Amino acid sequence: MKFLAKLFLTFFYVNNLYPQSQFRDSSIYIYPFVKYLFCTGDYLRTSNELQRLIEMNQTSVNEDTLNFLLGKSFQKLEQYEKSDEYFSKFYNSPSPLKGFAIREYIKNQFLNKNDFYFYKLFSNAENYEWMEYFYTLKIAAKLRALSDSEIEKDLMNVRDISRQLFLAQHIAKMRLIEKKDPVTAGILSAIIPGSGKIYTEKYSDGIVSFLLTGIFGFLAYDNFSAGHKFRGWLFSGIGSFLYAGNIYGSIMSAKIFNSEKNDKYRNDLFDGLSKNNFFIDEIIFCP
Amino acid sequence: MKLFFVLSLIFTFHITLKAQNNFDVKLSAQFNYAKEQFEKEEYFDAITEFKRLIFFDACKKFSYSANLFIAKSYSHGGFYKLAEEYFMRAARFSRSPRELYEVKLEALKMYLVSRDESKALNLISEITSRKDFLDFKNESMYWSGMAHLFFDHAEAAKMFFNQITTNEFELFNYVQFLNEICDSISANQKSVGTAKLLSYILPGAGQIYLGHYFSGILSFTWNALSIYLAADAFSSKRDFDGVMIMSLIWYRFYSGNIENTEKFAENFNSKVLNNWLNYLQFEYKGPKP
Amino acid sequence: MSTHKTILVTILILFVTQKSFAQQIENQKWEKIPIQYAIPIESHEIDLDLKFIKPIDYLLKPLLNLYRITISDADGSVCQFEPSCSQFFIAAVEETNFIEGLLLFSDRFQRDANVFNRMEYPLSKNRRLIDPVERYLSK
Repeated sequence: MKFLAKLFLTFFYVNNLYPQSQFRDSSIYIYPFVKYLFCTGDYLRTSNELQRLIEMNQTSVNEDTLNFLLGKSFQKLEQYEKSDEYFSKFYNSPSPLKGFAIREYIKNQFLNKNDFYFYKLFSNAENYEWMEYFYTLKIAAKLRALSDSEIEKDLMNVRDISRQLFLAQHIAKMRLIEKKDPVTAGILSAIIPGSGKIYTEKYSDGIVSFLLTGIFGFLAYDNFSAGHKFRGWLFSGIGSFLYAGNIYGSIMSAKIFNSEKNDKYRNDLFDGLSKNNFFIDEIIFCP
Repeated sequence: MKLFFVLSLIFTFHITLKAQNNFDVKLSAQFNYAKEQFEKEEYFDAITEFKRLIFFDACKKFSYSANLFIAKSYSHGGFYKLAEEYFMRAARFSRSPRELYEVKLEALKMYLVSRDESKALNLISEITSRKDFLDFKNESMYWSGMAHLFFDHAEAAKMFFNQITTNEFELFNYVQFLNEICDSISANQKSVGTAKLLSYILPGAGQIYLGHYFSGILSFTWNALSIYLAADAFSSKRDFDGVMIMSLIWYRFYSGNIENTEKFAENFNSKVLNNWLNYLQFEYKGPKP
Repeated sequence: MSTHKTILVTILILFVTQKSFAQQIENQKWEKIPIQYAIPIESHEIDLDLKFIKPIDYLLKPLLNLYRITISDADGSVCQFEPSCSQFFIAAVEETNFIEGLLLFSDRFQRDANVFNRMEYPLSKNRRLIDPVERYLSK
């Protein structure tokens, strides 16, 4: 009797022992929570919990799914190298997620500006399910770098009509980006102060430069004529300072004009790529 | 045998009860674990654990507390926008006026620490005007006064403190002390207007009034010199020179003089305030952000 | 706490809190940030540039410091731009050479004189127009 009583008491005691947090330590509870974190945009915690889950060597969730989700989380966190680590695991895997994973991997190279990758790999035309996506992003990468070498050849590998059209439009736009020549700007400003700035569409700056140089030039001349040597030289000095600066500034202005136009092109390109679903998430985890 | 029978009955009954309470126990355990992380100041982990709690708490029993703790954790990490989001959620799940009040109070403390004056003052006017917070009036006056003190409105702070008349209020002694702080600040700060006026009339005077002697003398010298040169130019009929001197030289030094005076006055007053703010942060024992 | 220590700590904390205020997305595990009740005070000490790197600094820097003490401080912040005109000049000379620095400064001066171009520059926190030297260095 006493022995049985002790047995029951031990049973009670053991039943009352719960781990500190079963939700945290038990693998069946972690995956649903991970999906919740992912779908509410908390990618950092998603990646932390996924890594914990993988370390647990559990069997309830397919490891491929976990690796894919981890890759996506790091991609959303813009940690592309880490993301690559997980997507590249699919390269030699028979998983049905393989095609998706490789496309995500390609997307990473574009987002991480690994343009060298695009020119190096997949140089032979092989008919994998991700080749079209690869060529699409390869063209986009070239456009981003403002280069159009062999771009028509790449375009032939893009079969989707709407994407082809989109890319062709942007290739044309790139070739038509407005440019100003710094040398022309410099020469113009040397002849007529301020005209170089007007050429680069900085109208008020050009007029002010013209006026300032003019005023000091006039003051110099006026003082020299009236015999005020010191003032004459003073105003000449200031005038020369302004004149030289105006030429240099116009050259700079042309260069800045060009880089601003290039930046605008790139922003438009990127906007268009997003709006036209080039970066769409193909697998939907969230309701 | 009878004992065996009774024990097995108790045992089965116990097990079924446990099955029903099983999930609740787990949730409570999760709550305690999360709270432990918060108390250890591991705020990032605390947020993870509270989010976990929220996910599994289908009955929303812990929603108020969990969201409030998440908000406070984000606040400690400097993520004020995220904290605001979670304060709003906690408010939605509050089950009584007191719980809602706690949320508002925590948000106010965050605005004080992050120096967001407009949000703090908006929140104060909300807290002091709500009918369901009338029970907490003394507390509201305390915090309103504290907030105004933080933002260098010592007179306004005093007005709020003076509305706490009952000495049954547990913080009454602290309020007396805070009133004294306000008095001290008001006495020691200098009037920005007076300083600026002095500088308008006599460049450099304002700076000297504030104790910046070198700057004051320098300012005066430049102003006097430029006026002298301009007057000299005008009197010898060199009007163009005179105009140039007044606009390119005198004007800069005159407006610089005013600007410096204003800056010095504001810095001086900020230093007076900071003296007390540091005291509040490190030595004051009463409730503070 | 001595005033200097307060100011130093204030600036440090301002730097830290500004950094975390800007990022409302959690990118990595973070720790609690230190808080400070005291108001950050813009130190009025005139910063004298005492870094002598290139030989020309021995000539320029003392002159610049003298300028800062006697003139720049007294005439207030007339420069609409950030960095200020004198800072721009020093940075330009450091990044390129004296001649180019002078030319860049001349251009900056002319742009400063043009009151109609203010909309073309982005605004900084202090409501100054952002115009750093980096923008004009040869790309």
